[in-house]
Amino acid sequence: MNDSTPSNSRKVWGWLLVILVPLVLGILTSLLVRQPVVGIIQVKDAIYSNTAQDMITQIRYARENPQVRAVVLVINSPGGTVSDTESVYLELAALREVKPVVAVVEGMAASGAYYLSVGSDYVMAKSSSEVGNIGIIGYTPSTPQVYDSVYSTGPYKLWGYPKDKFIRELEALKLGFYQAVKAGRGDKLKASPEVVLSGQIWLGSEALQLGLIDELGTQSQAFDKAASMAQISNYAVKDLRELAGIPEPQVSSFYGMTESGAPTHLPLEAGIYLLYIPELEGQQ
Amino acid sequence: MKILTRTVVPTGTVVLKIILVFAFFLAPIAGRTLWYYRGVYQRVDAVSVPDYKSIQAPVPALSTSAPLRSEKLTRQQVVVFDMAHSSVYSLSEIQPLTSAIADLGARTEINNEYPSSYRQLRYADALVIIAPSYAFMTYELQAINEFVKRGGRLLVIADPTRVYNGSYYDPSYFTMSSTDIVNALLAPYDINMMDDYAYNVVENEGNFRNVILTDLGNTPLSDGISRVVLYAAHSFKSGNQVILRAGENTFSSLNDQGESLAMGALDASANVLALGDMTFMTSPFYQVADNHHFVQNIASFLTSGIRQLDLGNYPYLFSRPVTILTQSEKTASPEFVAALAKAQQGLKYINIPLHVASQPTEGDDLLVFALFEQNEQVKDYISEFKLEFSITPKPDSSGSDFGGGYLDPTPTGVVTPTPYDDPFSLTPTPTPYFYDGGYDSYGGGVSTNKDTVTVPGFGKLPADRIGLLLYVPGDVRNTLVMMAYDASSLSQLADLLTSGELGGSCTVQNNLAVCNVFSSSSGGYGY
Repeated sequence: MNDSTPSNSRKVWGWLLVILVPLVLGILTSLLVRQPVVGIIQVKDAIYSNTAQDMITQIRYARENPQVRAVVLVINSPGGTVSDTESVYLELAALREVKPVVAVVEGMAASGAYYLSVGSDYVMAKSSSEVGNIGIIGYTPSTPQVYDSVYSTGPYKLWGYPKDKFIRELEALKLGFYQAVKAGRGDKLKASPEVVLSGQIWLGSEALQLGLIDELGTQSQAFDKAASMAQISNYAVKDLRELAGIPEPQVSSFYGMTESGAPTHLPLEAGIYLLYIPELEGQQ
Repeated sequence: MKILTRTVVPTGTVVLKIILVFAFFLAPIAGRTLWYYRGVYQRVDAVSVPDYKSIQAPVPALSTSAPLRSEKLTRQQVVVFDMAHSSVYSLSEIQPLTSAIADLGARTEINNEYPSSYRQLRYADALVIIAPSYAFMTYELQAINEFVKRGGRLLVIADPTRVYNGSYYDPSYFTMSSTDIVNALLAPYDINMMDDYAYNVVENEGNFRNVILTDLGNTPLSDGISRVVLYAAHSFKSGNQVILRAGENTFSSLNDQGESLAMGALDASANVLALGDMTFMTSPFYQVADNHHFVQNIASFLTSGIRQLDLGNYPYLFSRPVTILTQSEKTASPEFVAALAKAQQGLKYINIPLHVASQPTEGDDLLVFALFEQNEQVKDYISEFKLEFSITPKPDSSGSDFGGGYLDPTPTGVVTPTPYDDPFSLTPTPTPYFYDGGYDSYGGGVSTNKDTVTVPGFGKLPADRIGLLLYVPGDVRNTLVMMAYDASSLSQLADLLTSGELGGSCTVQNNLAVCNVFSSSSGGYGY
């Protein structure tokens, strides 16, 4: 009997060891399985060099960080410059190769901001969101002239384009925009090219009918959608700006100022824009 | 042996333990993993982006060069550009049009006077008004309307891209929009311009607002051209000829609809051309499609009007060199020479050469000086005015010819040699006047002369207090007859040629003007 008691006890301890040790080790090891993150990229300003560079940094962080399993663009922007928008759009395309991207329109996704929307896998908006304004806007170059005190090496060095060529290049950029819409929306796009390129802004509910967005929904639903696409659950939502260590943005230097210091709707610098400019009249 | 016994562990138990170790080790890992992850994200389809390399800027395949114009005008015509109403353009912008006008031999002038009397319209052949910002006064509109009625050509253009942005501190703050202003001009011609722009998103010239037009109507303006491109244009409503009509896919920004929108129109007389765009005639857009040729056709339109001159054009009544008829046998009196000099000075001022001849010169216009008593001799020129002359015959003048010379109305028989040694020149001597009315408004004094001229519409007028301007326009010759009672009053009439104004001195009715003059015989005082 005495012989059997230690033996049994040893057996019990042996079994406990077999269970507890691996269990504890398993629990500790499982902590290495990190909670997946749905990263947020806020697009809440005009898209220009500063904001575009911030977005590109966040997109690269999301692509390279395995914990970030999906990205949600939270958009409230009138658009921005053509080249900066295109840069962000192409970075998003690279991200989408490995992780799903969902766009949710808060106040407005106009022009270049909608360009980014169609650069995502799924687009949501509120019924009252403003969506669209697809097209290009630019300032016609001046008629070339020469100055006594300025020398340049070509007739268009100072002006960039002949007037008529400028018009046609706008048209080429417009075609690129339309191709982006077609590529992003595919068969879901129900509106004709003429309607899409009319430059209109639609309410979210109208945009849904036209196939410009996929669903009416909120940010939370967008996070869930992104998580669902990434096949994750019990995820965390984190701002990629913080994760990537990007400081808070300074006051926007994109728009011009009136004499009283109030911002205008017009960009500070002449250029070619994917931009919604309300109340253009009187601000020229 | 005991040791041996203890080392022999049943195989099944060991395997079980190993399994349990792995199971308990993996369970939390698997649980946590499954808690977070339901699968592995794999794209179903490839990410699609635009094929940027394949996108080409559209190139206009429409450009044609316009041929150089060889036609020349038979006389130098004048096209006036109105810049008085704060027009939102400069002449240098529309150099293709001004060059085309110059190529045709016409001259361009600018009207900067605001409000404008449009004095230039007395001799101009065409008036061009583009993108005005200041409203036209009623009398300006009347002057323009009269000009068009007399055959002057009018080109009115408004452009949706040419809007003047006034401010409170700007004098134009209270001006109307450009379309409102031009519609006031175009209202008499049944043309109304919409405050819109036309667009075509299906077929255009590089941009939705650059509308291609192929229905150009059937007028001289469409000669030799098949396609015009307008760069943002107003549309029109017109009950007359439409010269630029858009296709079914061109819409108005007012309602996003359009049924064959008109972007250019001619009035019923084909003297008023209205266009909704001026950009097409600026560089570089005039080089697209047949725009350059169209601009040349517009220049031809502006210089091909047939002006119907009347006394409203005074003193620009002549469109050819002027011959003044004189009597070959007689030399003019000093008064006649003075009148001739004044006439020459007046016509020189308006670039009309004048020469004196005894017979009308073919191809010339005619200026005739005549005394009332010579009415029989000029009846061929003045018969249409149905004048009745009651002039006391002057014996010494009965045999004189009409024309640049005249006979003294008061035959004193005194022959006064002139510096030109004219043995027939007579010094006028006042004669008593017994006009019925005693006091009359012509000259203000009391006339003692009974001679009268009855002018339809004016009644019986004292001959020594009036002068008549009688204008007979014609296809081959314009004739102006200046008639008065005597030498001094005829000289006063010639003054009007120099002053260039009839208003204040004359009452004009169609091609007849009754002017207030006084003869040396009438006493009292004149104008």
